[in-house]
Amino acid sequence: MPTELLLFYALGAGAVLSTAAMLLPTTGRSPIHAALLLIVSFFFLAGLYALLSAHLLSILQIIVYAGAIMVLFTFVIMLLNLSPDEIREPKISYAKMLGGGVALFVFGKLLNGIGLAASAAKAVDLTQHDTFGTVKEVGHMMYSTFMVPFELVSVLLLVAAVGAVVLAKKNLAYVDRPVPSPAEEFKTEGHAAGDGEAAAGHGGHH
Amino acid sequence: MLHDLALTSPLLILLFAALFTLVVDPFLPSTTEARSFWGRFGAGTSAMAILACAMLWKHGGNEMHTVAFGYHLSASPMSLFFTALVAMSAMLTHLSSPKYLVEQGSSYGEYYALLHFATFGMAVMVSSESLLSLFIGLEIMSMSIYVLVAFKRTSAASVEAGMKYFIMGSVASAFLLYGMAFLFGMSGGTSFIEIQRALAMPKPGQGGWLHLAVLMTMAAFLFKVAAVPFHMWTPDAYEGAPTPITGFMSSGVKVAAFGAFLKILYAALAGVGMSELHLPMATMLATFGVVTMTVGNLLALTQKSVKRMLAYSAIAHAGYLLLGCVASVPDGTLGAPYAVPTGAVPFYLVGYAVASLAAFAALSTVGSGGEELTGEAQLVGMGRRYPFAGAVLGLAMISLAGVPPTLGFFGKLQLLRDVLAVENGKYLPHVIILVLNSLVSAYYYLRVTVFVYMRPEGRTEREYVREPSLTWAMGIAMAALLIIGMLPYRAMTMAQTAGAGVRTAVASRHVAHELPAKAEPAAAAQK
Repeated sequence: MPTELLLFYALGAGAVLSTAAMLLPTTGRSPIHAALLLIVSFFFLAGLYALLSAHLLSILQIIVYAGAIMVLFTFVIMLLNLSPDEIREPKISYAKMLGGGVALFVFGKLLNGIGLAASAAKAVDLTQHDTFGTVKEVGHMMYSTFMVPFELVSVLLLVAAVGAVVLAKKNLAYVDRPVPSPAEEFKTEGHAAGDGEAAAGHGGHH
Repeated sequence: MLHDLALTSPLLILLFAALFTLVVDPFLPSTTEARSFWGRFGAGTSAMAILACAMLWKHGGNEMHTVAFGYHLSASPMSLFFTALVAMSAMLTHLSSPKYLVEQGSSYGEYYALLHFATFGMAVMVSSESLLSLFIGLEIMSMSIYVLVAFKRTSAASVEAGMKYFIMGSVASAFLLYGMAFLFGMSGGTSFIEIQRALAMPKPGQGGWLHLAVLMTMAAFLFKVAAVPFHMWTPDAYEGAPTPITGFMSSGVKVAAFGAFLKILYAALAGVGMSELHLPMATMLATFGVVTMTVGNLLALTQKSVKRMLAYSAIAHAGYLLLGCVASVPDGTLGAPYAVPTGAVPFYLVGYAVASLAAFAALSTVGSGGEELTGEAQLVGMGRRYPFAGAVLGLAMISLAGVPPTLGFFGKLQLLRDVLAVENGKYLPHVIILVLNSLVSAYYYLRVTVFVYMRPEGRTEREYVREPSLTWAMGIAMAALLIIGMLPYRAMTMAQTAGAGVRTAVASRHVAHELPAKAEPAAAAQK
């Protein structure tokens, strides 16, 4: 137990400190530093999940959040390419104050709830008593109780992929400009090559 | 398993139609003929879905209220009625699309696949028995519609509309998810049965969280149905979208959103729990309804573009329907504290969906070469140059205004009657405002017919888009408006059955007999 407790405090402190470091004036001015600190924070959180024997969540935290989503974040920051003087001093507006107030209120309520739960909780060895959160258990639930939502999500992802291709692909085959047959394409020296490729690769990659 | 597949057959037909379109389209030549084939194919498969709903309705018997696939989907009268209605919207949209898209220079096969996906999402929404499937259905629908709104990729207005709708819609989805998270946190389950069971025995200190959850969920639905104060996106999104898609948004999306809203209101939230927690849900809905209809109608008065005017009229109709949501009667099996909606909202939705589909199909005939000519002045002479489209547009306007021989009149009549019947006329002031609003709306609806028929035509002769499947779309919508309008009794009874079937039989049994089954361990954990 003490080892576990020690690990918990170490990981928790790491997560909190790396998040708090984003607010420092030196790093806070640089979006890319903040994003990198967020990755660090995600890793600490993944450790906390592993400690709770939620193995799958811990792995997903690293693959999805620390991996995919953070790559997206850093790409967006790099694409925006803000110079330091473009980043203005934060201003305090009424909307921000209101939002901050609501956030504080919710935070207080949550603290209260955690306090209530903690007073009722008993020490349980999660590895012994509960398989909740293991890969096997989550997989079992996903393919039994939550099979329908799981399948529906696959449709949702398909729709999103098709939609992204439809909106972002450069050349889609136009009706008013029919795709030429290979022979005609040869004659016109490939100005319609893009169209032919688009017709063949509908719904394919960008 | 097989049984479950049969119960969800309307959904499966729509899904397979979408996948088939997506897979086969690249192998077809991208010609006008191939695209109009997809239009007819889509109409055919939607009709098959309607047929499947009708079969389940007719032969369902005792299985009518069954849940399929472990409490995530159901085939209750309500879900079948609403599924048939969204499939009908999809059918007319499929028919009115092909030629319009060719004229606008963005005729791609993915359009029809996305239309199917959107319909599938709507069907999932109205058939859902759990928050999970409801939310995913809503997202499938929304994602498809965002893309369809921006489908005219070369038109700045269309892309802007899609972007606006996407950003605002994402915020609404976030609200919905947050509200659902709180509902889940309080009840420990995602299915409507579990939520209802948990709310029937509220634990001390839950009230505030429940209010928060309900308000957030309600805000998201008010956004989806375009109710004030969440209506800002509507005019731009409706005007920028391709005309058939505008029709689909004002019919299918509205039907699905109200269907899902009724389910959440009555199957998940309503009952003893709500009244004990002192949330004046009905009063709030009625107030939002009155404000929405008034704002929508007043703004519609000043519009010069018919498409934009119909967007504001969609807001006004959302107001009427919100007021209709308070019309309820005691549940037949569970008794007094539990309520079910009357047939008012389902029946009103039939009239509204058909009329707006007819109007937008008729508007699809004007405009060519990448241009849309839906200004009032541009409709002058339509009655003479293309009498059929003019007649359909005129009839749709008359029905939307609620003039007697049409479906719109009976929809409004039943809505008024059912709302008045609630608690001996508690909502009389609201109903009076509704009637005054209808009078105001007659002005701008009938003004369209004046432009179509009574204004002298200028020197320029306008060409109209004429195409067989578009004619079919207009013809079917017109026939439905007139026939159901003249013989409304059958549809009214079906709508009533639909309303009464909001709760599945399984849910009723659970609520009636297993009330104290699950609460103790959760309560112990709370302390």
